Amino acid sequence: MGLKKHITLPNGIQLNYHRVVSLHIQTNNQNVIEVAGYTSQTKRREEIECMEALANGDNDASCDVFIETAAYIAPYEQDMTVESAYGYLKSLPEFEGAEDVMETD
Amino acid sequence: MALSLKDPVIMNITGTASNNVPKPSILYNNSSGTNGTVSLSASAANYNHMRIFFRSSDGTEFVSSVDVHSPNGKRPNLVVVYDSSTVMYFKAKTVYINGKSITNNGTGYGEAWVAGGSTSGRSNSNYVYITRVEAWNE
Repeated sequence: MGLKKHITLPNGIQLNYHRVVSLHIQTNNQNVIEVAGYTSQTKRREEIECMEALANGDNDASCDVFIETAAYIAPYEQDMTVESAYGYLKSLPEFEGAEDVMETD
Repeated sequence: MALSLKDPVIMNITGTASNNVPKPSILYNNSSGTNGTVSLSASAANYNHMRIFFRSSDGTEFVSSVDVHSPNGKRPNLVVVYDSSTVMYFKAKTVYINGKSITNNGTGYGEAWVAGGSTSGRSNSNYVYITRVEAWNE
């Protein structure tokens, strides 16, 4: 799963696809949601294909995928899941109006 | 006969260590890289050597690498230096190698700079991008 949302970085790069890379639940403190932003979902697919090729022993596999990473601090929630983390992100001004998209789309 | 500097010298390295260098597995390979979590194609626990290649935010040509022995569970430092001729920038981070991922070690990243005179500074910028990870056993 990911989020479709157009965001322009200060350097002018246009991000259009965002996914939760990791979710850190710091007990009784806070949750940290790591989000990777891609220029397109196609570039995310390119990254996946590269990873799969490397995992299959193709040492020549490579990709060129720009990734902008950001960490969002959420209130502590012991039961937060990756799916609910997406819900939290959509409540933030940065992701207002973001659409859910599936990685297999 | 004594050799002079003009004589060609052919070095025979057949059968030496150069033939025994293990071929590494490529666990990550993205020329743009990422400054966030790196997903590896195999666990670091399967290898006893790892080489991490990285670049700075100044461009894909500003690169460095670090070798880590028994990498799983280690927290190596990645440092790239950029000198603009008037200011020297040090961009660094600590990462955590754990199984099939390399993560930022908390917020253990930043940039420091030194200019002429007493001018210096620091920011919490995350300016180091991992581009390639190789691992092997020997």
